[in-house]
Parts: sequence; C-alpha cells; structure tokens
Amino acid sequence: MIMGKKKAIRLTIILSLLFTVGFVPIFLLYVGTKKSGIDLQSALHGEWTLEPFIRLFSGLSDSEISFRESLPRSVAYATIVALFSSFLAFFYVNWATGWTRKAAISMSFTLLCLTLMPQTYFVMPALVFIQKLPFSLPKSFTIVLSILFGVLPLASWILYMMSSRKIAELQEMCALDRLGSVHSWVRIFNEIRVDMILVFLLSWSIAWGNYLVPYSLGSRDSFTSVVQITTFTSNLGRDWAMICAAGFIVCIPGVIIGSVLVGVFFRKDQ
Amino acid sequence: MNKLQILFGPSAQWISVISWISIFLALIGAFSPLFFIGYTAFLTDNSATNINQLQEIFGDPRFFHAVVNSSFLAIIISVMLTSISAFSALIFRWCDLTGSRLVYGLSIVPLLIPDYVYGVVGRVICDPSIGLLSGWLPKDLLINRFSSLSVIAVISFLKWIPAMVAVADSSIFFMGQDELYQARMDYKSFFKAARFVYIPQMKEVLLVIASLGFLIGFRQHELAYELNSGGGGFVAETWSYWNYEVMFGFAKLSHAALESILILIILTIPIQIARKQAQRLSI
Repeated sequence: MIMGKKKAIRLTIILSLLFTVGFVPIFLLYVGTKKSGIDLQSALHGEWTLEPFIRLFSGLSDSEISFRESLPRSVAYATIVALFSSFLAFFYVNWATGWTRKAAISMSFTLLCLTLMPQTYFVMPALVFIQKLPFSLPKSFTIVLSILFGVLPLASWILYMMSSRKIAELQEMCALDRLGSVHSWVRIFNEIRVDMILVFLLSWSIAWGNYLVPYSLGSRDSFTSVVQITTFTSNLGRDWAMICAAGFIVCIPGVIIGSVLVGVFFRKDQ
Repeated sequence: MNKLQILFGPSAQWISVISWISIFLALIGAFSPLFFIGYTAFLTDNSATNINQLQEIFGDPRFFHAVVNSSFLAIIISVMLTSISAFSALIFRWCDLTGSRLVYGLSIVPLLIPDYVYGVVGRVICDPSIGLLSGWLPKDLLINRFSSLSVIAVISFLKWIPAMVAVADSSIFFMGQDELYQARMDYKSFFKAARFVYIPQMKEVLLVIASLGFLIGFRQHELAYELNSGGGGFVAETWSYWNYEVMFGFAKLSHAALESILILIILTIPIQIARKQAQRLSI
C-alpha cells in the first residue's frame, strides 16, 4: 500500500521521537568519553576522541583488563541463557496451546509479573541455595542458572503472546498431514522461526543487561561487562570517560539487536 | 489427555516430557524465590520471627523511608506510563498510524539498554556537580528527596514509555480494520470516537499497563542507585537497594526475607489486577 504524504510525515515525526528516546542516551555516553577525569562539564566543548575506547581494549590497568576479559564471558552467559530459554519457551508454548486461552494467559501473565518483582527476590534464594549446598558450584554456573530462571518466564510469555495461535493451527495441520512428532516440530519451528529469533534476541539482551545477579553472586573473574563498569570508580573518584566508554560498548549489542528487530518489523510492515 | 497427545498419539511422548520440564522450570523460576524467602524468614536457624526482631525491622526509619520512596516511584511511573501511553495511542489513531510495526520495532530499543547504563546516562546529564547540564540544574537535585526521586521516575519512564505506547496502540489495532473504519464513519468528531470507542477499547490494557508500571517503579534498583546513591542521608533510597543492604551489608538474611514477604503483600495487588485484566483480554 502506498503511504500518503501526510501520513509519511507523521510517521517520520513519531519515529524521530522514538529514535531520540532510544539512541540519544547512547550518543550522550559517547559525548561523555570526550573528557577524561571526573569532570563532564567541559566534555561538551572537548574534542571527539577514541582514546577511552583504545584504552579499554589495550590498557593495562586492572579495570581495563577485567573489562576486556568480561566481554567474551558476558557474550557466553547471554548466549547460553538465550539458547536455553528460547528452546524451553518453544516447548512451553507448544504445551500451553492445549490449555484454555484464559488459563494459559493467566499463567503466563503471572509468570511475567513475578519476573518483574524487585531483583533481590531472585538474588536471595540463589544465595540461600548456594549456602545450603554441601559442595560449591562454579560461580559462572550459578550466575547463568539464576539469570535463566529470571529470563525463562519472560521468554515463555513473549513467545506465547506472539505465536500461540499460529502454533495451535500448525499443530492441527501437521496432525492432519499425518506427520510424525519430530517432523511436526521441525515444521512448526521452521514456520515460527522469525518469532523464535525475536525471543532469542530479547532473551539475549535481558541476560546481557542483568546487573544485580552477577554483581551479587559473582566475583571479579565471573562478573559481566555491565558489572565491570563499576570498577572504573576508585578512591580518587570516577573516571567518567572510561565509564561512558564502557557503557557505550555495553550498549552496542542492544543497538545491533534493535536494528535487527526494526528490520524484521519493517519487512513485515511492507 | 493433553491436546498434543490427542493430535500425535504416543509419538508425542518426548515432547510432553520436554514441555513439562519447560513448564516446571518456568514455574520454579517464578515461584521458587517466594518459597525460599518464606523458608529463610520462618524456618532457618536465624529466622526473625520473635516480636523484638519484628519491631526492629519494621520500626527502622530507613526501611520505612525506602518503602515510601519505592511506592512513590511505583505510583508516579504507573500514572505517567498509563496516561501518556493512552494519549499517544490516541494520537497514533488520529494520525492514522495505528498498528505500525516499524513503530513497534523501534519501541523495543530502549528496553535493550541495561538499567545501570541508563543510570550512568542520567548522571552524565543531571549530576549537579559534574553533569553536562550542571550549570542549569539546582545543586541539590540528586540529594533532595523529591527531586531525586522525580529524576529516577522520569528516566525510568523514558525507558519504558515507547514499549507501553506500542501495547496501548496494539489494543486499538486489534479491533480490526473493519471496526476502525466503522468507528470513523459513525463519529465525525475524533473526540467522540475516542470517548465512545477507543478509550473503552483500551481500558483493560491500560489497567495492565498501570499494574506493570507499578511493578516497574517499585523494582528500581541499579538505575536509582547509580543516579543518586540513595540521596542525601539515604532519604531517596529505594526499597530494593535497602533490602540488598540488609542482605549483604548487614548480613541479616532473615530480616531481608521477612521484609520481602511484607512487600510481596503490597505487590500482589498489581499482579492480581494485571492477571485478571489479561484474562479478560483473552476472552
């Protein structure tokens, strides 16, 4: 459908507003990297520089090395959580389509609300659980498991809302075609792959951005990148240029994932 | 028998097993914290159940302040998200942009930025000593209780509003093209259509947004702490941060658990409202 000129202008204005809310914070982090030290006031007048980023990736201070080391670790945590949560959410939704819609929505929504509770509700049980165990678990494992418990209900809810009707129809079609269970699930997975990618990406970014769980349950060698931002604070104060640079780096996956999502939705809009 | 077994017979056995594991894990993820909190508060060796300890917990002014602060944030964020998302959805309708998937896609972007980073951005902009706008802002912006909490509310609001606008807008979009066209034909004035069709259509979703907004406001932790470090003399501390301090700072796990149970009673109200409204939406 060809869009009218007026509608295109209105859409552009609204998209610009959304773009401002989404991307200006990231731009401001970049502005913050212009001035080294603890004073940001002069950053507005400073020269554009990549020096804090270069320091982040080649510096030899403890904080810089720890931040660098935390990046692949955070990617690994987030990827493991996203893979498991998307996989399990897929089967959760397949089963939940057999319930009445009222019951399934009620259940999924309760799970969503519980995951929106203050994060200390997740940290405390993990802590009590670890203390009671007769053996010690690797901290990375505890962190991944705790984040997974938080992300899975959310991923299940999102996938249920996006594709439960489609999955129910596909199940019936597969049964009518007399496909075996393995073939049916490959077909269903294939048909809803875009939704699955969205759930994977959202789970990934939620796991990536989690702060309190790794901060509370981890140590310096198991912290994520978001937590490592705090290490640029010392007795002398905060190195704002480095904090902003680290914050900027932490936002990059979100921007990439956001761009993919916008692209997917744009194609659906055509 | 479940629908899957009816459709696929015994060959769906393995799917049933994996599905039940998924459901079990999702339930564990959501509900186990509550069991553990109950266990820590009442059943462990260091349970805080005698009257003296209860008085110590609930008589602490810092706890009281923290609960009031989080409740303030919850109410303000809930009201702001609900009213602005409804207003924006009506503007979308007026502009004939209801249901634009491109807008929905872009509205997710702020949610992908971690809360902690939003806190850093807030400091970069608003810190009266070192922030980019420090010359124009009052010196006690992040120290004073009201102003400090207001800044947290505004920044959290900015993070969540695009997604909530998309949710409110989708409730009008799901009326269907025919009904939307009919509403336009029936009411020549947009305001009448809004009053008699669009707002009633959004009513249930707005209650869901209000409930979610309450939960989002109440759970503020890292964004709030990075932004104001609890304010001057902890006056602007949020409950989540206080609870964390009780757990790790004062090492009183059972006290923290007992507080959590009290707060859970408050949070059950928006959860129940949201669940009921979501049920109604599905009918």
